[in-house]
Amino acid sequence: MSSVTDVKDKSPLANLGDSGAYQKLLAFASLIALLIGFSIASPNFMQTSNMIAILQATSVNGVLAVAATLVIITGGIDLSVGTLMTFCAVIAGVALTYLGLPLLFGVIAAIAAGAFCGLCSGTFVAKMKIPPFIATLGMMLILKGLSLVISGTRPIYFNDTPGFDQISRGSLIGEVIPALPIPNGVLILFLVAISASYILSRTVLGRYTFALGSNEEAVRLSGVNTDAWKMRIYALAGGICGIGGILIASRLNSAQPALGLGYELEAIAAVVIGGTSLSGGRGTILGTLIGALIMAVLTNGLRVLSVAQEWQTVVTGAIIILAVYADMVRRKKSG
Amino acid sequence: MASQIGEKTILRARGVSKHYGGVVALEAVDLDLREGEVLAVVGDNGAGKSTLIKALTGAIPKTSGTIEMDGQEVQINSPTDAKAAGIETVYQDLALVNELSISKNMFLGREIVRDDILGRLFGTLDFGQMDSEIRALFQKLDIRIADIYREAEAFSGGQRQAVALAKTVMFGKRIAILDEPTAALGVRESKMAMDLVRSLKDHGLSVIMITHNMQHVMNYCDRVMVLRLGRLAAVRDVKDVDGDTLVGLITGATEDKAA
Repeated sequence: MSSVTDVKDKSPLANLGDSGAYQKLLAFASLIALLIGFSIASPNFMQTSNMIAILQATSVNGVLAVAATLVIITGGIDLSVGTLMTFCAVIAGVALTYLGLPLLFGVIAAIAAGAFCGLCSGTFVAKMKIPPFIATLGMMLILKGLSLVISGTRPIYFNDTPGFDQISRGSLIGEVIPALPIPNGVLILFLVAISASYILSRTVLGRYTFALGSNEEAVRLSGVNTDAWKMRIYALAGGICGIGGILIASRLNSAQPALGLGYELEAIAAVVIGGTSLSGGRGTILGTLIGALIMAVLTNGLRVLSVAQEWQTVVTGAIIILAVYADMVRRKKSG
Repeated sequence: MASQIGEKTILRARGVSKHYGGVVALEAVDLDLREGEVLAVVGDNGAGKSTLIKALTGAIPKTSGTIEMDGQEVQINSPTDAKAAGIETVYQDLALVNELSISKNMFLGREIVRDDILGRLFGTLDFGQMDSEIRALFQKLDIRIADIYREAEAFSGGQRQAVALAKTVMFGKRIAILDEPTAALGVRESKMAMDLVRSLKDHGLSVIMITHNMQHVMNYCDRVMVLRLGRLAAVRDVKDVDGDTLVGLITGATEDKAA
């Protein structure tokens, strides 16, 4: 009766096909154009190893961007995703290297720490009515400081935990299909993205995520405990940042406590480029993935073309402005 | 049976006040709603009508006052409390979330979750069940919404009001409170909306309805209470008043001796 196939609600489809579709198509077209452009410009670009490097670079930013997407759809913003990622990596380091716990516990500790910090941000926003920008800005600084304090400002290495670096760098797919050594980090990004998509389109939590971003007061008057649901969404986003923390720690085989600042802006940039509205109520995970890929392709391609790092930053900034402008033009058109 | 007005008072509010700092929006208003009746709340702009129903339904915290249902005092401090007590409200501008589809709006706050492991673990929605309930209800109430997956903002004011009232039919257990259900509606749409109000009564609900339309008071309501400057000015049986008297009570030209 209610199997996945006979679901008549178009919401998952509508997520792909509604007014955000225009920008997502634009984003997707830009991604293809970038890929073609860089391939023509440099023969080194379209190499399997380089493509895998791009995917690998997307994985951490992509996971953080998925977390940021959830919060942004509620009409909020999360500036703490980057330092929260680092904090979770440090927590994993404490659990695994300092306390010598088994691998699984380190992973669980990092995700739980992320969810808890997200819950704190959610509480500041929902219960204390602090604007999300300020609440998560405070959280960003708190977590940056705590990461440095807990680690004693030194990196925590995972040399004593065999297999930890394989979480991100190993390749389960590569073991089955040797020609396609896609790193596990990318696999994890896709699992996170698919789960988040499922939550957004099929569950009560997802429905309220969009509803809160559309008209919170009307939702509250409908008898929804808006505060509690908002806190849950921030906690979920925090937990996803915890996964991001594991990914980056695994990739570097260490928790780098000074890392993290700036990641939040890259994540938000990916979300915006992917067509999610900063004013809330609209957005998709697929768009965010495309956005994250565009950022990674751009960075990688400019590097392959030997463009100076400084100019890469300039280009990224310009793209964000263009993406938001495209969004505004679209909104004006649709009334 | 359902449309008969009992002697029983289902909702009794006493001394409901709402002050915003020094500004008195509502002062010591009493309200009695009898089982099965449609009670009109009339008054000029700023008389406190919307404030009264918002205070009754927990949408805003009241400064003072008590609410009893069936003779038992109840605490209604949030819209959730009101719904738990069986009170369903259609607010004037916030009845539906414009950006959400009709089907999402209908079950907003009362989503049906699948009765399986997915539902229990993740809160996965039972789309099929919700949609078939919506379609059945719309058919029964003769509400014509071609595409329930379109956003609410795509529909006319009359259709949106019909959906909001249908939501009340579906979920209202005891009392329906309506804030100007025909505001900004055309003549034909107003009639459609008022017929739905009548069907609320037929579904066994007692109704409180804010309105500016004296014709609707006369044709559809049983009793009428008049608010003036945040105070209760009069309560009358509709059969004992005419439009002119009501207008007099609203403006203050006629003083009510009984009150």
